[in-house]
Formats: sequence, C-alpha cells, structure tokens
Amino acid sequence: MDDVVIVGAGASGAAAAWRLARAGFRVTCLEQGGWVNPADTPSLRLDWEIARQTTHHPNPNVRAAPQDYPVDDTEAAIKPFLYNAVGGSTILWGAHFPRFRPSDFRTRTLDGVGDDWPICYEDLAHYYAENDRIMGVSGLAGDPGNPPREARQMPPVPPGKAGVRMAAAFDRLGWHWWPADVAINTQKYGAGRGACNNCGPCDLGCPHGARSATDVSYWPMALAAGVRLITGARVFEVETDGAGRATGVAWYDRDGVVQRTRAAVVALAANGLGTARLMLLSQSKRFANGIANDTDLVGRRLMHHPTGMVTGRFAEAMDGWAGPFAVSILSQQFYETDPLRGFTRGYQMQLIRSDGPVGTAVGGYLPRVPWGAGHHARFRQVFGHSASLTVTTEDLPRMENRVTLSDTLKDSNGIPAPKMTYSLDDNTRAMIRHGIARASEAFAQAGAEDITAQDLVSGAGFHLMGTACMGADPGASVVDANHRAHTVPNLMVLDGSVFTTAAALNPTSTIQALALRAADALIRDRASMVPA
Amino acid sequence: MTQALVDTLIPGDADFPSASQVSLHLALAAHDRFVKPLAGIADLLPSGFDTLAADTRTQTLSAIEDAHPDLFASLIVGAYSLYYTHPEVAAVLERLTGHTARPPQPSGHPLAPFDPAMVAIPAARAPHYRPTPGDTV
Repeated sequence: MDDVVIVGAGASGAAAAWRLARAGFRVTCLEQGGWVNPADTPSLRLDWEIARQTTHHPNPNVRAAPQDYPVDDTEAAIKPFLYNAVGGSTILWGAHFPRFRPSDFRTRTLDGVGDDWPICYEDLAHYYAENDRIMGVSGLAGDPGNPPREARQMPPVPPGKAGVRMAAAFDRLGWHWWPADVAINTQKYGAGRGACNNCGPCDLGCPHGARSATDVSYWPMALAAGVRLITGARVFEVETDGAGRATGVAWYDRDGVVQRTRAAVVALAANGLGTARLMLLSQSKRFANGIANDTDLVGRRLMHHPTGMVTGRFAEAMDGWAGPFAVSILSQQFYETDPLRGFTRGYQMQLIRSDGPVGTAVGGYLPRVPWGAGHHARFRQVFGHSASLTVTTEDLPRMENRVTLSDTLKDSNGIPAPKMTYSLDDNTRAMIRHGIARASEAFAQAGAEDITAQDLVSGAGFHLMGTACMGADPGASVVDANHRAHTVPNLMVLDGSVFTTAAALNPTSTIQALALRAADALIRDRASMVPA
Repeated sequence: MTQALVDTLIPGDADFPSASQVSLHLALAAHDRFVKPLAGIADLLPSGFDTLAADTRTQTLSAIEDAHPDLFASLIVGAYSLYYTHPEVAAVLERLTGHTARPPQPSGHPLAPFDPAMVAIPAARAPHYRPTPGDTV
C-alpha cells in the first residue's frame, strides 16, 4: 500500500509528489495522459498553426485526443481550456506567474463579498518563493502593486514594440503597470533547460525547455525522489471503507482493464473540472451524492476569470508574432474595490502580443478576417499590427455556477463527462465594461488607429477554480486549511478546486504554493495520517 | 466546383496567389479534419456555381453561411489554415512583412535584453496594494 496516491500529474500534483517523496513518503501518481516530448512540438513544423486549430487545440472537445475526456459545455458561457498529460495544462499554458495580492484572501472582510480564505498571503509567501525557484521565473522586483518580494531568478522578457508603446501610454495616464512575472527562462535556468528564443507559440510546447512546465521542472526531481508515475491511468472512483475513509482509487489502464491503487491518503489534483467530476463519481452508501459532498458544495462555486479583450491596431508594424504569446506587461490599476466604479473587486489588464498568419486570419484577438474580395486588404491591415489588453476579472463564487455529471456525454471508458453550467453575473459584466473602456483609453493614448473590443472571450476557460472550496466552516466548505476534506480527513484536494475566491489573475503560482504547503502539513502530521 | 468555391473565399491579388493557385481545394479534400466541411458546403452549392459571376458567387456563399454558420465557419478555419501555411503564401508574407517563412523553432527570433530604465516611472509610485487586517505584510 502506498502512503499517498495522487490523481493528476499537472501543476499541483507534481509539486506535492516531489515534496512528499523527498520527505520519504511512498507516492504513486496516476495520470490519464502521457509524456509530451518537447522535441515533437509542432513549432518545429511549417504546419504549426494548423496544429493549433486541430490536434493541439486547447479545447478538449475540439482536440478530441485519446487521453482527453469530453466536457459538456452546452450551458456554459465560457468553454474549457485544459490539457491531459504529465505536466497537465502547464503543457499548453502561457506561463504567467503572478501572485495573489493580500486582499485576495480577505474579500468578505474587506468588501463584503465572497468568503475569506482560512489562510492569508503571509502563510503562502515563502511557498511562492520556493515554487518560483523550482519553476524558474523571469520578472522584476519592486512592483509597487504587490508586497515586496525577492529578486526574480531571471530578468524580464522584453516587452516588444507594443509593450514599450503601451507602457508609455500607461505612464502618461498615471496608471500602474509592471513587467509580467512569467515562468519562462530568459537565461539558461534549471537542469537541462535553455533560454527563450522569442519564437512565439509557447502553447505548442518549448523544445528548449525555456517555457517552464512541470514535466521539465518538478517531475525530474519527483522521479529522482522515488515517485512512481503511472501514465494512461484514468481514475474513475475514490474508494472508501465502511467508515467513510478513503482507501484508494480505481482506474482504467490503457487497455481498459480496471486497476486499483490503495493508499493511506488520496490526493486529488485533476483540476477544478476533473477533481469535482471524480468526487461526484465516487458515490457510496455513506456518500450518496459523491465523496465529501455532505454539504452539496462539491462542483459548486465554479469560478473562471471572465475575460474581455480590447485590441488596438497600429499603423506601424508591431511584429507581435515574435515573443512569448501571452507575455508582456500588466496593469493592476483597477484591481482593488472602488465604490465609485459601480462594482465590487476588480480586474487586471494584461498586454498580449498578436498572432501568426492563421491565427490572425481565423480571428481571436480581432474578428475573423472576412472572406471574399477584401480578404487580403484587411489581412495586410491587421497582421503584425495589433496588440491586445485582456480585462481579466475577479469572478465571485456563486452556487449556480457548477460542475455536475453529464447526462449525455461519456468518455472513451464510458465514464460520465463533466458538465459545466456557468453564467456571468451583473457585477462581472460591469467590471468587464469598465475594463474595456479603460483599455480602450489606453490604446487611444498609445495612438492606435482603431480599437476593437470583445465583451467576453468565450474560449477563456483556462482557470478552473472553486469546486471543492477551502474554508474553516465544515458546513460551508469542502476542505479545511490543510486541504483535507472535512468529512474524509484522508482525502486531500490539491488543485484550484480549493480556491475560496478566484482573485483576478492567473492562478498557477498560487495553486503550486498551496500544494507545497498542503504537502508540508501532511509531512508534519505524518504519524496520524499515514500508519507506519 | 470546389476550385470556384475556394477562389471565392480567397481570391488572389497582386501579391497573394488565389486559393486554387496553391491547390487549396485539393488540400482541403485531403485533410482528415477539413474534408467534411468542404464536402458539406460543396453539397450546398447550386449547380453551375463555377460559371456564375464573381458577385453572384459571393452572394450565394453568403446565403449558405447565413443558413449554416457552424459548418461554414469550420470550412473557413480549414481554408485559412491550409492557405496561410502553404509555402508559396508564407514566402509572400515574408517578403511583405518579415514574418519568416519557416517554423518558429528551432531558430526563433532575436530576444532583445530588457531595459530596466523603462520602469522608472511606475517604480517611483507609492505602494498601492491593500493591507489586510491581521496579516503582517
């Protein structure tokens, strides 16, 4: 029997697996995907942009790879964006690496919305720092928008022509901005990992290992520490004994044969969608509605980061097809609550570059280039001439936004797919409207020829949070401050499912810092949690 | 017929080849993900579509797009994807814009050093994150 079985080898599973194995725990990690060879990246092929539209599409329903499970998104305003592999969704992410602000942990106390976390920024600060060292972060200390922190491992990614221009515009407007922290090497850093060569499509993988992901950062260390990693393992149930304690997990191997792994502690790290699905699937006499779901909170409070987008087109070329696609500078000028704005909490604006030829033509940052007689004229106008500001809003938890089990879709093993039910509330819509107006103001200040806004980027379901929320009150949360289910103490949740609130920025550094902290708590409580 | 279809979608101009000049209709028909929308839209074309005047072909396709938006959108994704990754089109792009007609890797693009002077103004601003009760930061 293992000490710990972890379900999912992504951002949080990798971090916790390494930490626990290093402390002498016997750890097995089960991952339904396989290893992705960085040398196989489509970025090395001329058809790389076709891969983005097909085999490497971020939406599993479009990609439909063998390791993927479908997602019922028929009632979701935001569509899923995830990956199943060793490394999880860090395989195709942009590697933004901001930290939560202190206020993000105290929204109820400060603003009367959401709920306070049972932990605070200070509890996570040194875990953030340790995680940064392992993932490798480029950036610049001294940001007045955040608490002081140590120097980044590497200098920032250069902002490009559009970044320089927009930074000057922010300065003229008197707004906060700062180079984005990103888990991308601007110099050689980490074992066998090279420096970024500014190629652009980080989402397709990095053959140099410059864009960090847990398959090149944590996993080599975790395997060296003794973690047993099993790929092609699709877990479909957390099993329990008569007392309701978790005893292990049941899973299908690649041949469709049911296997079982027993462990003293079961830790779920399958993202805010997959973890909730697995908990809901794990029904028993004791847990008729899914394991640890006595409060009917499992799957509820699903949060994304609803994203508006404003794109400015400049007369001169910005060459935005060069450089890490998601990285440049950000502004947190409108991050905190200001009652005069007509909404509670706030948003972050991130400047992102533009797209390759196919991405420009099919649309994304800008509407699709029209087909027909005017096609090439419009293409010339926009290709390489634009930059975009995302309006990344804080999504307050609501019970009706949730993950359930689909009545209509199943995966290739016949397991019900997760269903996302999700809509935006008036507060979020007001935030996006405000953000679009401010981002448009910034582009106008920067001299953009024309400015185009999208109210909601429907494909922005990349941050899946809140579906097994953390809290001090067992009646109002699923897990405690140590990530242990209130009603199943040897069941842990490690991923973004535990987020009490979502903040308004990318969650991965927080997910990983939390996972390291949860692992340390388990190490501390080893005697009671893991029988000798 | 599919030749006229793709040329209506992406006509050529002084710089760019038309879709059929780079055999886009054949590439779509040979692609496992794009053959279905190509065939689906082709089935909706009226007899003699390829003999119609350019304006009439455009009007015909617009009507089909209005009636079958998802299928048509899938065809557009396929058409644009295969057209803009064709070596001849990539060569035109390189000549016009500097976007290199090669894969992004392994060569990438030059990575200029970051200039710390650019943060002089924001670095001089006062802290503006909110302190939180009971926390020590």
